[in-house]
Formats: sequence, structure tokens, C-alpha cells
Amino acid sequence: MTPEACKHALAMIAREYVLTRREELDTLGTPLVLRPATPEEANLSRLHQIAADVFRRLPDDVVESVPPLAESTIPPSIGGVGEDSGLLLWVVDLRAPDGAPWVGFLCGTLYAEHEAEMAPETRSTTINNLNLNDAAAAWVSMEVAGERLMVRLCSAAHPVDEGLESWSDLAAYMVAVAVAAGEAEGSAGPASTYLELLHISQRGDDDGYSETSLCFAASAFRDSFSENLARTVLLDDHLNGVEVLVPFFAAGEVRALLTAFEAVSDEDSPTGVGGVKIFGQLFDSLPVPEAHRWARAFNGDDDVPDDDNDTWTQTTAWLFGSWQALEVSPGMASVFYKGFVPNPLRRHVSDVELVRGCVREVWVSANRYRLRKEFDSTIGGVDVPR
Amino acid sequence: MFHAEPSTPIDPNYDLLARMLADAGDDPVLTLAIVVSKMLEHGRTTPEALARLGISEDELLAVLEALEESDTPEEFNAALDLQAALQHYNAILVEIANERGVPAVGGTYLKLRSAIAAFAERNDVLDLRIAYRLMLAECPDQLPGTTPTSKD
Repeated sequence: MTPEACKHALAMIAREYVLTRREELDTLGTPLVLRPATPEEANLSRLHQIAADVFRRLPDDVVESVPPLAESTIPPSIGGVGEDSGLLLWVVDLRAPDGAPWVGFLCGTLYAEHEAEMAPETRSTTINNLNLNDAAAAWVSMEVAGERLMVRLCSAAHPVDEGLESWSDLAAYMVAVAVAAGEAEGSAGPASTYLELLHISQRGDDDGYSETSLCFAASAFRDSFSENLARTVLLDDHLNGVEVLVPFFAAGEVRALLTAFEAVSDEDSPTGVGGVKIFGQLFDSLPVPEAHRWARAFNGDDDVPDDDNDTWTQTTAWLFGSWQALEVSPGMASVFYKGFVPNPLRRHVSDVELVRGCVREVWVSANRYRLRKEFDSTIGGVDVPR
Repeated sequence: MFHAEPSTPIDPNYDLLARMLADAGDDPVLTLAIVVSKMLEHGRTTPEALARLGISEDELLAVLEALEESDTPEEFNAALDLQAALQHYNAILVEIANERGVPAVGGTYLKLRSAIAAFAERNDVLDLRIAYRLMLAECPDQLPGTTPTSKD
């Protein structure tokens, strides 16, 4: 027996007990679930002010490509519904579960295809393919103005009272990303130019996320837990970043929740703007149709019935990415999260918040899956008399 | 998982044993594990038959798991080392549990195991018996069960 094997064995045994204490694990990553305010509650003038502030920060030619907001900005308000595709801008008022503080929410979306004629299986496969090929947003099926469409979402949420200035900047950045992603491939449009300039102007005293900063943030994240739980969180240097492995208790079995962070330099990024690649994975492989269904549910697809429809837009709203299903063996697929946080967001999202938010996103989704699995295994076979 | 080479007809005069021993090279354990795994796979032996050789079902399972999870001989040996360490520690922990009147199943046993292993890990002590004695001296309250009274 080598000393390394002995240390590894000790670490495994040491974690056995804590892993079984579900009530403590359940406190990990408790999400900030926001609830939309009702039109009566919402502060209309405040929302208009936010929207105007966001637009003020965008270059004129980007603003020109975004038709003005509709009169009412209470959810969802839609502008720019084109024949085939266009930019949607929603300003939604949200509240934290305790009723305060107020939180502004902005969602830039792009139409893709009308899906009226599509069979459900085709729709599911198409949406998954879009997510597999789009690193910066989530594609979902959504009913908009009476039509069922595939919509591309990226969003920004922030407690408004913690600094409108900073929040509007972030929201404007998100809108620009949404517009840039819709620009024709190979021809840089106004939004791409704006993002590039923004990135260049912000370099200098900040080189963006790095392997060192990510490892440091992961350690701080681990240390933020109680001593027992902190001991169960494993950190591992990984590629140009760090892997965070969090134990997870599901349906009587201990599983690991994996979230990996990889710093990408400007030189290595295909778009020229570096950042952090994020990878997270559900702990089970599933039959392909089931995997598609769960990926869509995690993305907030309103065509997937689910009692508990928290989505990344409510939990980690500054994160670009989506849940996807990837076939790993014949008929079986892995459900994983792939995201990217570009370096300019470092002004708005600290390294520790980045790690915490991403683990939380993977945790929330895995937790939903775990609860459903436990429910099904407990009373799934019971026939309810009608 | 390691993959066997395609089989070729065997010359009746060919000394298979000599060839196998020569091929075992620097890693006879790996060779033996592959042979056992293939014999089981092709129904040429059974876990019961191997038990007569002194290979318990748990040990056999550990070898097969290590083989399944490894892509290289180095990974296989590391996995075997880990399994051996776990078995070694498990045996000691069962002894300690017995000494403390804790049944070797259930939550109290899990808590005892984790407490001793965590202490050993934290203090870089690879001998669990020594870790246990240190805990008895420094922090006996962290040990579930009853501390046996000294015979001195």
C-alpha cells in the first residue's frame, strides 16, 4: 500500500458519515428563488427608468436594432417581434421570497423558428441541438404572443437597490451579447464591435479570470461552509482551473456533484474574448428522451410540465449557458450544464460568487431531479382512485 | 478497461505457461487479474472455486472493479492499492468498534469510522490504531461508544 492510497482511503472513510446527513447537505446552495411581482405590485416608473438606463449604455446602432419597449413593461412586455426572428426585451419585476428587496430582471431573447408544425420529438431534438451548439445562452420552447416559438434566453438579475449603475451596465452588456449572437456569422456588427471595445477598455488593471483566481475562489467557497460540510467538498486542480466536487445524497445513494471551472485566455478563445468555461453534470445517465426532457426542464422550457419550475434565470441569472443532453452510449445520454462567463463580467461577478453561483445552479437542478426520483420511487406505483 | 488481443490458434507444442510468465514482465499482478477476469467471463472458473484458493468474494470484486475502472496499468495498480488500504482500514475499524461496544453497522458505526479517519487525515497519521490512541488521549468525547477501561 502506498502512502497516497492510504491518504485517499482515509479521505473516503472520513467523508462517509457527513455524506449521509442529508439535512445539512440540503442547506448547500439554497437558491435565491425570485417570484415575479404582480402588475399591481410592480413599480412601473422604476422599471421604465431601468430600461431607459440600460439603453443609454448601449451604442446607438445597437439601440436602433432594438425596437422600443411596449407601453407596459410588466411581464412579459415584448418589443421587436419580427417575421422570422428578432430581439425581445423583457423587463420583469421580481421579489425575493421574503418580499424584499426588489430585484430587477432583464432578459434579452432572440426568436429562432416557429415550431407549430413540429412533432414533439423533433422539437425536443432541435432545441437540444441548438443548446449543444450555442455556448452563450439557453434555447427554450416558449409561448409568445399566442405562438409557440423557440427562444434564446440570456438574462441579468440583480438587487436593484444595490446599485442601479452597476446593474444597468451588466444588463446592457447582456443585451449586447444577445444582439451580437444574432448577427450574421463572420460579419462583426455593431454589438460585436461594442463588446470588443468594452473588453479592450476594461483590460489593463484586470486580466480577467485566471486559474489562480479560480482555485482561490473555490477554496473560499469551501471554507464558507460549516466545518463538517467543508471537509466533504473536494477541490482538484483541473486543466486551467479547478474542479469542485460536492457530495450529494440521492434516493438512498451518495453521488458526487461535479462543477468544473476552466480559465480561457483571450488568445485561446475563438471569439477573442476570454473568460471561464463552466461544466456541470447531473449524476445519472438517462434514456435519451428522458435526458432531453430534463435538460429542457432545467432550462426553463415552459412546454415541459414540472411542478417546481425554478430555472437558471432565477438562480444564476448572469450565467451564459444551458443544460444539454449528450448521447454517451447507445440510447443513453448524459445531462450536463455548459456555460461561459466572459472576462468583462468580472466587474459585476466576483470570483467567489462565480464559483458559488455555478455550483448552486448545478445543485438546484440536481436537487429537482433528486426530489422527483425519490418521489417516484416512494409513491410512483400508487394508483390514485378517481 | 483492458481489452484482450484477438485469440490465435495454439500450437500443441507451444509452451503457453512459459510465454505467459515471460509476458507477465514487470506487472504479474495485472496479468493474473486479466487471466482471472477472462476465466470468469468465459465460465472457466467461478467465485466459489477462487474462494477455495483463498480469494474472497470481496477481494475478487475489488480486483474486477479496479480492472473495469482503469485505462492503464498505473491506474489499475493505484486502484488495487486503494482497495487494499480500504480493506486494511475497514478491518481495524471493525476491531475498534467491537472494543467500544458499537455494532459494526448503522449510524453510530459510521460516525465512529468517519471521526477516526478524519482525525487521521487531518493529522497525517496513516496508522489508524495510532490515530485512535491519540484521540483517546486528546479528544475522547468525539468517539461514539464506550471507551474500554484500562487493564493496568
